[in-house]
Amino acid sequence: MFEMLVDGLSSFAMKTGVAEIAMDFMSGGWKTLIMLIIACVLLYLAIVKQFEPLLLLPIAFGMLLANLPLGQVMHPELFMVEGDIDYGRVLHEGGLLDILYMGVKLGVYPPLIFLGIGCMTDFGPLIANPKSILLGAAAQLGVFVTFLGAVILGAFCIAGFGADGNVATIFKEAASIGIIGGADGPTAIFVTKTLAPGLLSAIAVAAYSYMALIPLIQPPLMRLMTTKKERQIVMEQLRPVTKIEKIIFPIAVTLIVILLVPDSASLVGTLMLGNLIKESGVAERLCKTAQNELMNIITIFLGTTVGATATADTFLTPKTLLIICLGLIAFSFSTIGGLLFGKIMCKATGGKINPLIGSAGVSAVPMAARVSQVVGQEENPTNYLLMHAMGPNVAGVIGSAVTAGVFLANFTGI
Amino acid sequence: MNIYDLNTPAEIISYGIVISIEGMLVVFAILILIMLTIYAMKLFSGEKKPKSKAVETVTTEEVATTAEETVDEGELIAVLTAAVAACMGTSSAGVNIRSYKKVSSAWGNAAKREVLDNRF
Repeated sequence: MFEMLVDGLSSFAMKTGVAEIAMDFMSGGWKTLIMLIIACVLLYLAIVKQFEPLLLLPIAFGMLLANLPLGQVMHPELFMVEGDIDYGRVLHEGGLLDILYMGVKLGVYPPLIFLGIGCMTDFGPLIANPKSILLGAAAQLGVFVTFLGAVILGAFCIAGFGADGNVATIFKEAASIGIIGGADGPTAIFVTKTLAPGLLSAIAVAAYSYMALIPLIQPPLMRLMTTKKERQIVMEQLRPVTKIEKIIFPIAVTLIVILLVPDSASLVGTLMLGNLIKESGVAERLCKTAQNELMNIITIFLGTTVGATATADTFLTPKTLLIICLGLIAFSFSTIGGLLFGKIMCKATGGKINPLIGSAGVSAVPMAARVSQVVGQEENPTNYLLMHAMGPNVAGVIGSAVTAGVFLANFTGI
Repeated sequence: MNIYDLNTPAEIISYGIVISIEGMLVVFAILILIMLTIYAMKLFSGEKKPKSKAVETVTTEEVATTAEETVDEGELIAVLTAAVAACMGTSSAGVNIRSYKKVSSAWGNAAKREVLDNRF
């Protein structure tokens, strides 16, 4: 009787995760432990420091769940296969997060998030000042600079880049890392899940952490790149935009962008659908659902599953550290690109444009625009740049979606 | 061009440079096209604008005169009297303006900032 109890208890003990970690501590258990610590640090950043908590919290918790041994909620090996994924097998053998992860893998979640973003975005400031759309293009500079940087790393096989000797992998990974500079989480995830699924968690963590750090990253660069006089420029008030313009805009953008860059169809298409639902004013219920319930549901699914792809084998590599560094470079160069073009526009218009709105060309809405407002107001307390900065800010969203389309067109299926 | 023909680091990097420049050009081209579309849109839907613009300039001028032309005190006091009376909902006969002082715009700025912050 007593022996049976001991037997039962000991066999139970052997089936616990603690035993699993302890038994092969040297061969891999320590990595699991480090991953759990990283997950807890990210949870701390999300909850206490409030770094993009809506996404970082699910990401960190997904990471925690997936790395607890024997939990069986996530099986990255089902997705990391050569060639086509066997979705039948995923449905049969997959855990909870595997099933949800199919939404990421099949590219369903990021466009649905864009639908919600479209419903929340007001393109009015952009329509009122069409020139500001160019700043949204200039702020993609960081994407391409970082892409080039990662290509160079791959070409010389530094830090595990290009280690498999496949040239296509170098470009695919470089594109996924570069897109962090677009400062647009869903776009980064959309590109990465197609081109370099192994880097998904590292890129998502880098993108969302830096988006939270925009108020720290951008202001020093903004002060460095502009003169005090430029920062004090007060811009003319924006003209009111008619409802007709706001309704035609999403339709026109959809036609132009998707006809020219078909690979951006799902991102730009849903963004503009959301915006049309909002601006048309005839489908208020849909607008409310898309920007609240639907978006929140998708955010939970997306965050948890992206976090769950962070297994020790894919995350604890020198690559991850380099991605974090490259991500910072990407953000910085995007800011610099926007500011430089802002300065050019300032000169070209005879000082009517405050170059500070250029840094808002990175698409973190509305954080980047707020930063322009705050830095502008430090120099001139009566200056209100926010609405002017919203123009480049929403242009940045379109810009990074187009950039994603360019990368996908070049590197998908090679 | 086949990507698998690239062998040396120099070839790979130069292809990377080509892609970067191409990408930047495509992004600029498409956004410039959208910009032109917005300008075109303004031409077609901007019929009603003169009317609303006229109203706007009148109101801003009024505000400007009340704030600046302190020389004409009688007019300013009349405006202030009317405003106070309208606010209190009484007749202007019972309202006497004894003195007025232009306050600093710090409060106004703070209020504007708060409204903007709450909205975004």
